[in-house]
Amino acid sequence: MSTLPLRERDDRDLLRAHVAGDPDAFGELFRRHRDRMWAVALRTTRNRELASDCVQDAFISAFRRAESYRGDAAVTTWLHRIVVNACLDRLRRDKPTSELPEYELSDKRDAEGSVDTRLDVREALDRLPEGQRMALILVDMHGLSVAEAAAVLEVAEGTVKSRCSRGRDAMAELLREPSGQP
Amino acid sequence: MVSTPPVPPADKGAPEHDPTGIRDLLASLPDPGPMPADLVARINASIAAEQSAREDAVVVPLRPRRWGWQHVGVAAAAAAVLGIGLPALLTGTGPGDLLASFGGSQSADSASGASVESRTDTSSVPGAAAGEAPRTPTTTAGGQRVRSSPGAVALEASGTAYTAAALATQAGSKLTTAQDGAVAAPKARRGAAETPNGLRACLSAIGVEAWMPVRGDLATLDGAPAVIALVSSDTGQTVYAVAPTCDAVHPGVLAGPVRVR
Repeated sequence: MSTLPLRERDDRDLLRAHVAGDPDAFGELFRRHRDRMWAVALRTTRNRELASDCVQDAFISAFRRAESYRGDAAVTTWLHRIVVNACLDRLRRDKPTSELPEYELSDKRDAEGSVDTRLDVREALDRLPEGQRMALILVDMHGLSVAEAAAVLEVAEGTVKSRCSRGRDAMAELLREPSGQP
Repeated sequence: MVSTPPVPPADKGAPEHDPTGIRDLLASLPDPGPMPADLVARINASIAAEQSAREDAVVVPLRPRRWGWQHVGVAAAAAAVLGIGLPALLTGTGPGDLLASFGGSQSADSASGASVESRTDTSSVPGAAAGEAPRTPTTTAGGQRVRSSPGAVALEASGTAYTAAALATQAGSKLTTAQDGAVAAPKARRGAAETPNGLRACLSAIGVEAWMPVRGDLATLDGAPAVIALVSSDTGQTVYAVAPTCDAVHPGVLAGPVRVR
């Protein structure tokens, strides 16, 4: 076991120490990653109260499930996965019918003809299917690599790339002015 | 306005290849900022309580009760509650509501059924254990129930001799009624699942969601030590028999899940 001060130990070492019974190791992990996980939760839910509950549930879940960390991904990736899953579980439970079909966005715009469909960026993002939205949040907003996002979302890297591409196209269409100009 | 950064044609498959400019637009959105101080404090308290529970969890045995005149009033109250709770169940508000109507430590919905408040013993609610006020009931704008808090874990130690063959019947008979029988403390702690937090961790590892109320009984199954867990959900009640040593890493299911009818 490392004798370094907590702040100088890496994430894996801290998680190992927590599993071994160190009473302070997980607190250091929380201190280190809380702001990033808060941002992920808030951007995923867009609701401060919901994000608060999700990120709290996620950290307590991580505390209890630390033994399940296998070490094949970075601890931050593992934490991202827990936070994202906590948020998505809550969103699905609270709004089980809110998900839009994959191509409903363009259909809706066509049906409305000249109705002004311009949305702000966050509203447009919210209207994407969950898979595309999460890919864009993680890759474009949080700067995760495609490989990291794939690990968080537990899908193939090609799937993340495809979701990013399709999500950007859909957003560009939503954000286009009624005249058709971007 | 969306800007389009120049991208080499060879990078079309890379995430930074974005002729729409949406990537830059999303990246330019303001950062949400640091986690609010009150949430930091709340989670720190939860972590401290989890750490404390991990180090020093105890089972509080229930005391034997004697039937007396005061129970006549309790019985009358129970009958009145049944009169309210049964119609609530029949109108589709779920078994958790019926359990709540017994006045146990289960979640209790408001009369409209539109909100839920989770009442857990302090050993299974990190914030409460740390002196934090329990969360208030919440609803979504559409009146849907929000389960943000872990469900209660009520533990007793009856020492009942359950059998795998009759598990649903025995658990249905014993654990769906109000706690009124004489129970005995276990002779010695045998494992992690014999504490509220430990039992919750064990059940989580085998797929039981954290919001679901649990009533546990330290007992035996086919002669071997076991923890019998009655889990309530919106769709009914399910019984698991787990090993006393069951935990998040080594989930040991001895029997179940079995639906209680």
